[in-house]
Amino acid sequence: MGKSIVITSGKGGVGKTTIVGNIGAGLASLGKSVALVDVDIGLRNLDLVLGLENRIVYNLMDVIDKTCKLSQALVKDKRFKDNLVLLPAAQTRLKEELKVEDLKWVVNDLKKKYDYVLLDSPAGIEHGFRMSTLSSDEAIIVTTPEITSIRDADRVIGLLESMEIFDPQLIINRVKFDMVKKGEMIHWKDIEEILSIKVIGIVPEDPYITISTNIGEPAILNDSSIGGRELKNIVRRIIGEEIPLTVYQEKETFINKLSNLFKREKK
Amino acid sequence: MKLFRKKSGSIAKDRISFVLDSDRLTLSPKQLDELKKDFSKIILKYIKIDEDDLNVSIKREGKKTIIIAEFFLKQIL
Repeated sequence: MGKSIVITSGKGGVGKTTIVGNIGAGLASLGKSVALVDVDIGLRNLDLVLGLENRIVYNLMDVIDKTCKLSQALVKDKRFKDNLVLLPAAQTRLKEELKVEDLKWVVNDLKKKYDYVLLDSPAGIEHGFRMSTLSSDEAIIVTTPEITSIRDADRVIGLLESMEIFDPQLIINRVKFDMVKKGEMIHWKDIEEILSIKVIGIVPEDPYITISTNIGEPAILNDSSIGGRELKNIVRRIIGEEIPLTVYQEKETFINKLSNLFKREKK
Repeated sequence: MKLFRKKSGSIAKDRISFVLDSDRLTLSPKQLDELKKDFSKIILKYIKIDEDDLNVSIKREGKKTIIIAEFFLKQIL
């Protein structure tokens, strides 16, 4: 029996979907079987992150309505020898149409076949968030170092507790290390202390993430992406490996120093 | 003077800490301030403390939420 994990944030636009796609791809590349469920009904996007948008036939609501079998709606990602499947969200339906008992049976069925079932929760704390949380065993919260996003994360932690999901874990996304160094961005240690939950990853801001979404290839598959590298560490922490938190720092190479010198002189 | 400017990262920390205390207690910021003042008043009845130096924070520890009030004694023990 696998386990289900909801990835949620409260605030929108913090990188939930990108992280779900990457963690899914990462787990699959380590040989785990993974099902990704896009619960963001009406605002489907996980298919784009994975580059699977052209292969969708059925979706989550079709499964629930019994228009098709669960296995028919799963889009297999061939890059991972079918270790990774996506259950897409319905694009032309409403979140409110989803009932908790329906999503629960879908997730439970998937858990019988897959090691990990990851649920991409919609932003907000309304119906869609509740449905995906109530169908999950564990939770990962995504925040950025912006205080608006930290506040929403705190609210989500409280709500998770009321739904009896304790000890959620935190991913701090889009950290700009140069700004942290200058004291112009809240430090991840402070975020950890303020929210008092376990941090399982600090992902640096990485322009390659945009490129990876552009081409539909998760950044985790690219070893030269700094964001991808940290996402890979998160995946290994999820499967239980003890990997200390890596705090990315750009190496001060000779060429770096030289180019910084030039930049300074231009100003 | 730029040298002594408080860095925005630490301003962010103070602001988010305060707002989360108020969120977690479901008290308005004004009520939270009043609570802190009332706390001091009660303690002051018995012990000499520094009225303006009071830290009230709300912390989560697993299933429990704890309210912590730190007072600073005027005389050194």
